[in-house]
Formats: sequence, C-alpha cells, structure tokens
Amino acid sequence: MKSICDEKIFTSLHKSHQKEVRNFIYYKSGDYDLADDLAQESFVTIWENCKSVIFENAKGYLFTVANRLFLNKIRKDKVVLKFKKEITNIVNHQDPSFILEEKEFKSQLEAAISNLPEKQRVVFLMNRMDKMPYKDIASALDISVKAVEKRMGIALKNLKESISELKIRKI
Amino acid sequence: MEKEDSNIMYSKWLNNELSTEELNAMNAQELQVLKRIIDEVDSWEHPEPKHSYSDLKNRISVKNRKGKIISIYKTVGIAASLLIAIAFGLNTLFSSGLEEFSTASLEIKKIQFPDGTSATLNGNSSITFEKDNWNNSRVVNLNGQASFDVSIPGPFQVNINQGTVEVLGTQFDISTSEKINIIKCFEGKVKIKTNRIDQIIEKGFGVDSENYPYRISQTEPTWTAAYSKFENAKLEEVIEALKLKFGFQFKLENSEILTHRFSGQFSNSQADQALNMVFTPMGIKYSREGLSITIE
Repeated sequence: MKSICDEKIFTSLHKSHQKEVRNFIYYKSGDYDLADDLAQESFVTIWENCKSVIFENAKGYLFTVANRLFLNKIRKDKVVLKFKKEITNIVNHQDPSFILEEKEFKSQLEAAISNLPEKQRVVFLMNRMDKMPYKDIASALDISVKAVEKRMGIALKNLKESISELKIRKI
Repeated sequence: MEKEDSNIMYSKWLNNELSTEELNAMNAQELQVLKRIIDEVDSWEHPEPKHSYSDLKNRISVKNRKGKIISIYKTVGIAASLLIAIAFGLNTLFSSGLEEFSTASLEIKKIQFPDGTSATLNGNSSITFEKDNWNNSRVVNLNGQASFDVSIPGPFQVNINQGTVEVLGTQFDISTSEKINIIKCFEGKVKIKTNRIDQIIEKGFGVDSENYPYRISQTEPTWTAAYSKFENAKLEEVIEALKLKFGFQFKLENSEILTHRFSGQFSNSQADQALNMVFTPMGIKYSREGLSITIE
C-alpha cells in the first residue's frame, strides 16, 4: 500500500498538487503570497500526519487543510484576481458583436471572474487554469461531479451575461 | 427549458458532452461569447510558486530539530557534509523499503521507529532498517554508535559488526566498528552474540572491546552530553569514540598503546580540546592535520 510517509510518494504528491492547492487558495483570496504560504503549510501538515492519511485521500486532505487554513485568516469579501495575460494583436474583426478592444475585454473578464461567487469562481478556474477534470475537482473539494457541473454552468452563464452587458453598454 | 438545466448545458458544452440536437438548440451568438471567454481564460497563467520542494524539506527539518516530529531529513552539521547529505537523501528517495539515517561529525540525531521505539545516533554513524516490514521484524543495522530506548516489549535486534544484540530490556547503548563492539545496558537485559561472545548482560553492565562483561559506572550515555566520560577504558575504545564524534582518522606508529587504560573525559564539541584532554594526560604525543591525527 502506498504510504505518504514514503518520501518518494510525498515528493510526487507535492509535484503533482502544489500548484493546484496554491492556485485554489489564490482563487479564494487573490493573494499569491498567502496562497503560496498556505499551500506550503498544507504539505507540512499532511507530512506530519502522514501515518493517519491514506494515500487515496491525500489530494482531498490537502485541499481541505488549505481551505481550513484560509478560513482561519480574515475572509475578504471582495477579491481582485490578476493573471499573466498575453497581449495578442489577433482580434476577431469579422464578427461585429466582438467590438470590445482586446485589452479591455481581458480586464473586464478578469473583473467578472473576480466578482463571481467564490464557489463558482474556484470551480471555474480549477477547470480552466489548472486543467482539472470535473471528477478531480469533485474529489478535491469533496463535492459531487453533479455539483461541479452545476457550479461551472452557473459560472459560465454569469460570465457570459456580464460580458454581454458590457457589449451592449458599449454599443 | 428549465433554467438550471440550461446552466448545466453550458458546462456540458464545455466538455463536448452535448448531442448535435442539444448543440443546435443553443444560441449561436451566446456560444461565441462563451468561446471567447474560455479561449481567453485558457491562455492565462500563474506565476511559479515561490516555495520549492527543498524549501518544504527545510521547513520540515526545522520542525524536527525542535523535536516536534522525527523525519527522514538530515540535520546537516557542517557545510562540508552537505554533499554527502544530499547523496544520502537521494538514496533514501529511491531505495524501496529500506530507511537509512546517518550523521555527520558532531551531529546527534534522534530517530523514531514506526512503533515509537527511539534511537539516538552519534556522529559518523548510520542506521538502516526495513520500514515496511517493521511490524513483523524489528531489526536494525548499525554502524557507529547509538543508544536505544525500546518502548514496546518483544523481539528487537540490532545487527552489529560480526554479531547481533537482542533486546530483552529497554535501554542500551552500542558502539560498533570493524575493530570493536562496545555495548552498555542501562535498563533491562540484552543478549549479545558475536563471533567472540554469546551472553546475556543486565542493567548496569557492559561488554568492552575484549567482550568481557564489566560493571559500568554510568547510568546513561555520555556522548550526548557536553563531555564523553570513560572509566578505565582501553584507549582503543576512546579512539573509536573520537572517530565517531569528530570524523578523525588515526595513524598509529605503535599499536601497543591501544591497550593503555584511560579514565577521564573529552569535550563533545571542541576537537582540539578533546584530543588534548585524552592524549596529554596519558603522555602521548600527537599531531593534527585537519581530520588526520598521527600518534607517535
């Protein structure tokens, strides 16, 4: 049986989930510094409890610990997320509905994502930015795949609506 | 279409799970907006995490030194031993079930076995054991010196150079090298088996380099304290202790002096002082070059 106390296993656990856990906290907090530190703490915690956590639950455990550490901090009502964005000059001019200038579109989308309710924001970004399939997100957050689908769906609807609103205002 | 269902449609669309009919039922303009959102977000990136894996290892080993948890990470005493420590670390990483703990000069490390039994490892020493098989057989291989505190009764065996020490009691100290085995029993009983001896010794007794049981005056190991103490010990034993503690190598012009007896102590932290405390009272002249000691 795989044991987390085995350094080989622990190293691979860190390698495959460090970024996911860190990003997860970023989605909640908008603070990379905090996210990095809490992710680090989560791995220290799982190492200290390596005997009592079975390997199959390791991922969920890491996310749970990270979330708990985050909740212990002061919860921000409003998060502002910033991402590294490539500024591309390729703008789709063929469709008249896409009249937003590329740069403005990017920042408006960033704001729209920041304004999503936390649960939707976290699921949406885990799926898009960390490329986590729904079932992986479900096991990490200890929710059903159905719940992930729902949150994704509502997130997409909300984003679509805020972007469409912008478009209309612009016209 | 119900509202909740239409939301699920979006997430299904994202996963290419929609049938052709379902896809056709969706608003083309909406889909274009969604596509642009997804394409945009998919191109975003995160900065690299600021903590590397070695940062994490340092965090964990700092906690160890505070005694909070015991782990496989090495406490590196001096910079010179850094490379060796990394080499051992890799070894631990890739070997299957065999756990290895080792120490550099002047380093003392506490090791906890899976059942709570602990050992304290003196400098320049190493311990290996099969972690996965620990519950079936508690067997430890020792090079150098270690004190054991066996918390749970039952068979516990230490393999030493050309022999074994079987635990019948709880607290004992072993120093083993190619030349000599020295075992001291502080609590309970141990059964010692080497090519020269097969004997049970009890609390307050030890076996010296000639494998004769003798009464020990100490009640606990002194190499973990400020000074290592000896009472009528053969110089050979004292030299082995200096080797372990400081990583010295000795060159002897006359091996006869090894049988001389020494009573006294040496510093466990100051190399020059330690040499002086042993050899000067015995009237033995020595010279030191780095870790190499020549005795006239």
